[in-house]
Amino acid sequence: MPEKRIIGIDFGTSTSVVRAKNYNVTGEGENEKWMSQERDVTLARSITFNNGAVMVPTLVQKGEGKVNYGYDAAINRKGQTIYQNFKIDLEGENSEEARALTAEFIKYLYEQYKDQRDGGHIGNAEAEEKTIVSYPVKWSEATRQFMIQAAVDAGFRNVEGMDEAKAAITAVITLSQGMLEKKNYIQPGQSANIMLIDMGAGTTDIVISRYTHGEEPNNEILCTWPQGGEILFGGRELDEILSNYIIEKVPDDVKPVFAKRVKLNDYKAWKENNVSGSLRRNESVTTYAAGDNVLDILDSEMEPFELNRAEFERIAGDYLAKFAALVNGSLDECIKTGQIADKNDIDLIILTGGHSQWYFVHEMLSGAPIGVPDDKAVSLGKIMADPGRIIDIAKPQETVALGLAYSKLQIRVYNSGQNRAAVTADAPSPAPFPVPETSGVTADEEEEVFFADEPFDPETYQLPELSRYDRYIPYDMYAVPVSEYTAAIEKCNVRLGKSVEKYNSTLSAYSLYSPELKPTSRPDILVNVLGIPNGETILFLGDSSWFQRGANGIAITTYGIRYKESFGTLHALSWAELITRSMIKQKHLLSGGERIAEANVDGIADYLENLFRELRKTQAYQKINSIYRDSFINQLILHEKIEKSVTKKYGKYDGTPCVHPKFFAQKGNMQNYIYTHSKADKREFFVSDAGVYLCELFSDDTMKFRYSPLSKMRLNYATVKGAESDPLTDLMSCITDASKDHIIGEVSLLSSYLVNEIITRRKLIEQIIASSYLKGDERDN
Amino acid sequence: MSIFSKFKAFFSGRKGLDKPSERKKFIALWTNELAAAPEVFTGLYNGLLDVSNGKLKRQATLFKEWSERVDNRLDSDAKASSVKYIVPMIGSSEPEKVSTLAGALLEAAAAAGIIYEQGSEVVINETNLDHYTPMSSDEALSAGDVVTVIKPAWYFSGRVIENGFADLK
Repeated sequence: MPEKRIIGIDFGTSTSVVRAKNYNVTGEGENEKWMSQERDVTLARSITFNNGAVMVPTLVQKGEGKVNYGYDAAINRKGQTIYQNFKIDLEGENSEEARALTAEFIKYLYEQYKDQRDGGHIGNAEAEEKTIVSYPVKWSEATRQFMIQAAVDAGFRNVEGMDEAKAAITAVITLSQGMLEKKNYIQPGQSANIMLIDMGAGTTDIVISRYTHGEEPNNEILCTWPQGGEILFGGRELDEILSNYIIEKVPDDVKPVFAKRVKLNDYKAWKENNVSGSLRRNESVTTYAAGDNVLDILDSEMEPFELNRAEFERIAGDYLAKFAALVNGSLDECIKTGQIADKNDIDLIILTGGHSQWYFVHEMLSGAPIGVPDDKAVSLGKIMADPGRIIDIAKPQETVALGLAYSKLQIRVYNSGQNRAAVTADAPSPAPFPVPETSGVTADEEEEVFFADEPFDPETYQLPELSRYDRYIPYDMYAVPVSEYTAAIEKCNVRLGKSVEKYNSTLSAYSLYSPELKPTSRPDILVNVLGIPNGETILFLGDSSWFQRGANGIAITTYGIRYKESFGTLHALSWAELITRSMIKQKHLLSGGERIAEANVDGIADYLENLFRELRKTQAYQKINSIYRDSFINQLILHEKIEKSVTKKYGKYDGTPCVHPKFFAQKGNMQNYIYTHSKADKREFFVSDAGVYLCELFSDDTMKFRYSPLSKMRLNYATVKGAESDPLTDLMSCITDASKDHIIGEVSLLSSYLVNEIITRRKLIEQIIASSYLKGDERDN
Repeated sequence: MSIFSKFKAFFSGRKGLDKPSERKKFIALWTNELAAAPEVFTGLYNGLLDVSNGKLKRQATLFKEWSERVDNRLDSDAKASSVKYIVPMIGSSEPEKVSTLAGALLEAAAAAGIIYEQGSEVVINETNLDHYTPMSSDEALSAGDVVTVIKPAWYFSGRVIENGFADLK
């Protein structure tokens, strides 16, 4: 299958980004089909600069016969001139110099790419390459062609162009299609008016377009703004505002020296690492350590300050007013030209550019009159009614380059009634499950057998209300890529601060240890720790103060259960996965009434068991009970019945409430479990009177759960030959000797002896069921 | 043992970074965090060095800003560690604990590959031309200048991540 690569070049005013994505391609011409080489279709390789940076300043430095680019060009050298922002001049009257600089810089980008490609860092060095270079929507055809030619001249192959708006929308659709469709923001065949706001370091550009969703999407540009250079609004201006603010806090006698020694880039780092994030979380900033470095040398101290939102809006009022003017200007232009009827016609806003992460952007676009009188505030009806229509992605600086790299992914759409996540592209199937061939049947036949009597059908199972995670949730319940949860959390926590703000105002969480329902003391920290994104309703949140301010905790949400131990991995288990895991988990193996093993596999079920037990003591239980009765509360109720019946008959019960009713419906699986594992192969077996469960962990963190019902086992394995010793003895030996590093529980080695043994036990269990559990209610009555 | 009991046991038994296993775990975590995002703490490395050298005047500012950056930029593991070890040291009146924390973070930085100029004198060349800001002159440094380091420049993977301050000799 031919390998191809898309190289996306986002040549920016202040920074540039190059991303590459590898594809396997089948067919030719109209039948050509591009499939992501990576299982996670959103993965795209970064071309890095100066030992690891994924973005590079768009700078060229010349003088004394030397030329430097990117980071190297940012260093002040005597006798050398630094050229910056030359992208802006490409459309000007004297564009000759800008064109020369651009061509040189793109050549530099190619050299970086080529080095990394030839070094094998981008994938197969021999893969066929296709290059897409982006440019602003408002550029003329001549300038667009210049960009394409500059890339060709630099050495890039098969170059074509794409406007930045289309690239950004492609990125957002690829990353968020499931959420956008689920919330009905976009639907196949329907159009949506999208306002794309690209907020860079130097300028902010707005494009309003009409996007029609479908397998062959269309994006019609309605208008661009600003059309001249009337309003300059970028991150750099904010650096200056913050530097002036800090300099004011420095004693007069050292002010001039301080002002010269602390560079604008130092303020930029402070802005990005401290100010922006803290104000987003609605917290104050009271320190500036980089300034303290200089004042320490000058033996001076800064005047105490508290930079909170109110203070920021005071010092940056004029600046913020420009943002409102920009947005309103774009809308007025679009209305004036008849492209949209009024401001309520904007369906979605997409934010790109590093500067878009500031809190005021979301607030102002949602209608908050920050820095402007009410009548000058941005007023977009649909956005104000539902701020969820403002879309941003994890790394807004990389949106355009990602969109270019994604541009060959096939968008798939589903009917809205299907209630399943949209998948944006074909992903390779997971590695086939390595079924032993000693049974005499082919792997395909085994596959069929294994899935023949599934107690849990992922195709028909209706997932509970999901959050924006939906497109990351694996729908094949028996191939759960654990790592995708982490990736999903990373992607969804783009604006963690925003989550906190949202939850601060609407959180309905209840403390496990409070005698009555009340908000937890520090929900924000625990929400952060557990990585709960926007749009997810918290049903239960472990008290953060009890958990030492969020070092660990548990939350039950509409997504599932999230929990974390101190310094442990953050777990996010969907309801679907919980049910699957619960099915396979039992604590004890009983043999002849003697406890011989503990299946302490991963602790998850232990946690959940305890959690469920504790939950039942709280009023929050009632809330959950009303929502998830069918999924797990019924299990608790069922468990109570079983416990009561079995205890009455045998005086003892070692079961667990974490058993899915569908599994339970197989009858007789509440005890008599055999568990074994192999450290080397990372396989775990659960042999029960209902059949065999096999859990296998692959090197890519993919876990597969297989279930073979007893009836099928008997059919396939009763006559298996080759067991060197009594399989059951070996199995017991493996269980009782935890250090024994081998697996006896290969399905193919389960002899008729073991099967018969299980059948015997099953009969016993059936007697129990017949005598107590199924008729428990009648007997008790 | 329930999860809650586990948590309770964990916290009741903690002894902070004086306990070798805790310190080891702390350093391992921060080594990973710093290696992944060294620029997040740009501007704080010299402060860390000062505090570990006993300049405690700066510790409140330093640790406050450090924890803010953790909250703003890093993930939940770092946040948890910050809440447990760093936040309690903001304005602490226990100099030994403060130095221990700064020392542990410096150790993690070193393990992550974040290094600083060790010498007291540096010869300026084409490569480090912009790595030092002269304190007593408004003139930019030139290749060939020899400077006395006041606060060192910090590097990661061959690139400067925090500029130093120096004086022309």
